[in-house]
Amino acid sequence: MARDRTARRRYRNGGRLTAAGWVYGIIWGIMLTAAVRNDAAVALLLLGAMFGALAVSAFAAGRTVRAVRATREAPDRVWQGQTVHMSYFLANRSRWSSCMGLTLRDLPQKALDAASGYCAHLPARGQFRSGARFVALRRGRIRLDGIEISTGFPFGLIRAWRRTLEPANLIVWPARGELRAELFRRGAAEVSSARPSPISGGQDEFFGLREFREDDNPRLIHWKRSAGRHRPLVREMARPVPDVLFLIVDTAPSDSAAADLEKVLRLGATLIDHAMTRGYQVGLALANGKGIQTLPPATGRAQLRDLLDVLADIGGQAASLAQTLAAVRPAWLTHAQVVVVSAHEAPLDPRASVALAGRAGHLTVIGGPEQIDRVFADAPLPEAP
Amino acid sequence: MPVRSFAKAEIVLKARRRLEVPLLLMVWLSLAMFAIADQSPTFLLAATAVAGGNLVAATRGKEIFLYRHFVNALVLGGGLLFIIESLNDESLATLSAGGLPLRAITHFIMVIQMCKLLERKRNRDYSQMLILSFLTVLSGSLICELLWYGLAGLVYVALACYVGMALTIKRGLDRSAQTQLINEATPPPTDQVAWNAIREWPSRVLRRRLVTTLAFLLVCGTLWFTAAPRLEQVMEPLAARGLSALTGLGSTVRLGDARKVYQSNRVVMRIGFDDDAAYRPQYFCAATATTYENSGWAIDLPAVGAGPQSEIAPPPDLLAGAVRQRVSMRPNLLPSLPAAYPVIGATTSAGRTRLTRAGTLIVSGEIVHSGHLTYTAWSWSQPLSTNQREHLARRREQIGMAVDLPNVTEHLSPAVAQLARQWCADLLDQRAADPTRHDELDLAIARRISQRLSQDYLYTLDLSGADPDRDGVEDFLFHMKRGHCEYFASALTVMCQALNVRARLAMGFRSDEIDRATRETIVRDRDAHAWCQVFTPSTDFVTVDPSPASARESASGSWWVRLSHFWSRLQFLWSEHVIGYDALARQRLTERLRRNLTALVAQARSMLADARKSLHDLAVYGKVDVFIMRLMYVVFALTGVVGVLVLGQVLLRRHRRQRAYRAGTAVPPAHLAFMRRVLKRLDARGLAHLPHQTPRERLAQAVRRFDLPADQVDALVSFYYRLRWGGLRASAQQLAHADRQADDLIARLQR
Repeated sequence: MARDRTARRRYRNGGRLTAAGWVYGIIWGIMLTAAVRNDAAVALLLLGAMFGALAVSAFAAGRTVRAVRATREAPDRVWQGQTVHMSYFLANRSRWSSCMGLTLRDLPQKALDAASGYCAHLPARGQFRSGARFVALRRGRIRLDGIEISTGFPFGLIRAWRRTLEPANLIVWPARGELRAELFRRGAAEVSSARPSPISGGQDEFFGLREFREDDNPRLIHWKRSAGRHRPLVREMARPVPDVLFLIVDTAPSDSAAADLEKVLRLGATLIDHAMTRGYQVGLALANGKGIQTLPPATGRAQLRDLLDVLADIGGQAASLAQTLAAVRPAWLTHAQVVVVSAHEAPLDPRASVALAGRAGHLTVIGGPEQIDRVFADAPLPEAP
Repeated sequence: MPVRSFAKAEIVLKARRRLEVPLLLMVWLSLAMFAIADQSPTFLLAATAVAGGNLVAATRGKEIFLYRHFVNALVLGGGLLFIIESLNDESLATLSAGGLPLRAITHFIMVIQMCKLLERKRNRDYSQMLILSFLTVLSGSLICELLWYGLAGLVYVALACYVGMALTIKRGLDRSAQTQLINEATPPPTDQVAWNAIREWPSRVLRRRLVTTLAFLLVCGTLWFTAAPRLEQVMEPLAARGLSALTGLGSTVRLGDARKVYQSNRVVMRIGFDDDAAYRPQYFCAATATTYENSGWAIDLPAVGAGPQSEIAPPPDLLAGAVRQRVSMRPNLLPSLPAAYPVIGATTSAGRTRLTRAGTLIVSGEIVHSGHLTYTAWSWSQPLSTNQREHLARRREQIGMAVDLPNVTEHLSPAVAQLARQWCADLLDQRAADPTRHDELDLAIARRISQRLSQDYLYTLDLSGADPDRDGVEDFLFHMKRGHCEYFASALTVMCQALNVRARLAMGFRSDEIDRATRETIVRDRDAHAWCQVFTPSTDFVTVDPSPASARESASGSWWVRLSHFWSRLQFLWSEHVIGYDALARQRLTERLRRNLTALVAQARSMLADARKSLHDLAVYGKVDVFIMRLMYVVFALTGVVGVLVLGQVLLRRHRRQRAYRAGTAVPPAHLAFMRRVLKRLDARGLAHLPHQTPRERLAQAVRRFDLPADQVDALVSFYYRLRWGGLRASAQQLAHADRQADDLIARLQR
């Protein structure tokens, strides 16, 4: 019941005198007293007009916010700490009168710092898309519940507002930072199942040199090495199989602060983003409050969204790293670069480390704050005001 | 003086210049209004210079400003001015009356406004200037109630409304332009804000809104004015209010001032008589004057507590035949207590009533009143009986009052005396021949002169033709030949004195307006009057009023004269209906409204009864009576009017549309039909139209959902956009091609 009351209060429409309105009212009262005491006719006329201005303010502001319908147009997934541009679509339902000086904003959320939208003029029966922007201050899911339309037009003496329910879910991915060290071993011989490729350019990589054959493309002749030889040498190119990154994130509770876990997640998100950008197939294994979640390596925007959603949703009591490793299928690790990220120092015991290295194409373990700092520069995150 | 150009934000968002120009005009108007009302040309010139400089700069997209320490020094100077001005006598007098030094405060406010104009201006400064100018105009309205101020106030309100609206929009734009998220180093680019918040400055909409707002404010102002509380308790008049100009009753009478006299309708006294009183006096004397010098009369009105005065103890035997006047009076006439002549007794709870040597009534001692003052006076009706004349003579002896002729030869113009002798030559001869008829002939002389004056001279309140260098009476008699009651009464008194008739100037009020509800005589500011009292031993002082009964002014003349008369009439109406609107007028208005409303309701009821009867007769007997015929006429007439209006509107719209098509500012609907057909087909296929979707977004959605050729759709949408909003004038081939493309898409959607 109390919650209902709170919600009702949150969505209550209303209006109030602004600071200018209070000053105006006080001046009006003082001057009215003087005018009545002096029986000053002109002053009484002017004061009547001033009172009319107050009435016009209340009427026009209330009518304006009632006439406007607003819809939010915002993305459903955003990066933490990054400015997101959104818009409010406004439609004036009034047939005759235009609406002016409209301010639009989402109802305040602790996890968001938002700049409101503004529409100076919305003609009768007109539509307008007012731009706004916000920045998410923490990762996770944020529920946007309502929009507030307010105006102080015409005189800024009274501000009227209307709050409408416009529910939406926003998933905030952990913030991206910068990688200080090159963790991806793309094109390495040990992970590349290289075979000769007739095509050069694009993502092909240099494989080796061989003697020129009749049907070779003369453009591939390596002139420098061919100098002094009887037969020219040509470059042989190779197209590597797609690289695979498998990320294992240790979310097990530790003595360290929660900030370390957040940093681990930001490192994970950064790795995923970098790898996806470079065309890697990326898989993920981690434990969260719902159990152990594993995503097989894949590529594409849907995979990126799923991976980052999992990172955004982490919370609650998590399982240990050993349990997480046990849940990973060995086939996913074959020829994959496995990166284990943990807030703990030495998260894997030597035996587990050897076993994992044997299964994976390449293993990188980043454990503890020092190692994390060595490879990862955290993004400067804004703090909630 | 530093000058800076407007910043990009101020130009791109377009608000600065559009706000500043009307704001500067508004500030200048408020300063000028007060300066003119206060008659201070220095402030007027300074305000004009400062606002003019700013205005020229603003129209050129620049801002001139002084460095802050200069502005602070100017404000300090203004503060010093305020202190000095507050310490002068007039302001101290106002302070002692329980009020505030209004002029000094307003001068300080004006200085601050001018300093604000010389500062670098931000939104906060604009708001402050708006409030300060409000205060200036309102302060001015307390000291000036003339018509021009009211009209200027109307212009000011219009400007202030526009500035208020523009400032509200500008503040929103500025807030958008300055908002910075916590992860942002700088605010967003101005162009981006402009695109997100405002595409075009809504000048036309603002002007339209201004008109409706002004109409509403006018109605509100009028309603408030008619219904506002009006206290019975009235403060002492402000020094600059010019009540003497409004009432014509001042502490001195001076002829020859080239000015206009505006008379207010304000009620200053209400006088109640006993119900059985057969005689209701019309002249209420407040002061008298006997000596005329240098165009002026020295009024016999000693200050309270000065000079010999006599307490009045009305003799009970003589009070029996006297007329009792119960007077309620505004205190601005104090210490005089106007009453009909001769006063024989008076009482008041406000202080001690006394009689001056001139025989008029004053109140002395510590005057106690709460807004208005009440007193009761007894006077005898004219003509006086022998006993009454003897009593008055004894009283004059007691208070040392002599009814002697002043020495007029020194200041009297020979031409005036000559004219008086010329007019009354026969009566003078008779008086010389028969000394026994001296009193009778003195009165006859006074009446003869009075008659000639009222016949040969015009009454006017416009004394703009007066020459201050001439003697007032001489100027009136020989040059102007027009004037108001003071001129007529002065001329009569001076001419009587020139002919050795004992006369004096009397000032006070003359009124015969009776409030029917309370049976009281109402005396207003405009009833202020001057007349002549002629003394003879056999009659005591007799009232002789030379002023014509009504003002007769010529309406002929050039357009300028006619315009001047029209303006005068407007001023009179303003004085009568606005300045003079008081509690009594409100009471009357309420009563009239109530009566009219009652009559209207009764008429409506009667009409309803007639209608019921007529409709009944029509339904039952098929009888068509006068009411039904009238009703039919009204219905036909209304239908005709509405039909004409609708037809006119339709034709007007059609004409405008055709004109827009010809000018290329609008596209004929037939040219856009291809897109309508496609969108309609999408509706039929179940692709719901979301209100926020543009055609491009909707068709992009259709491409994904129905596997339409993206290139073809994109080309069609681009053509539609260029046609609809891009000002493209499409050829018939292009339109035909678009139709074919649309048909193709529709065919694909039908598969």
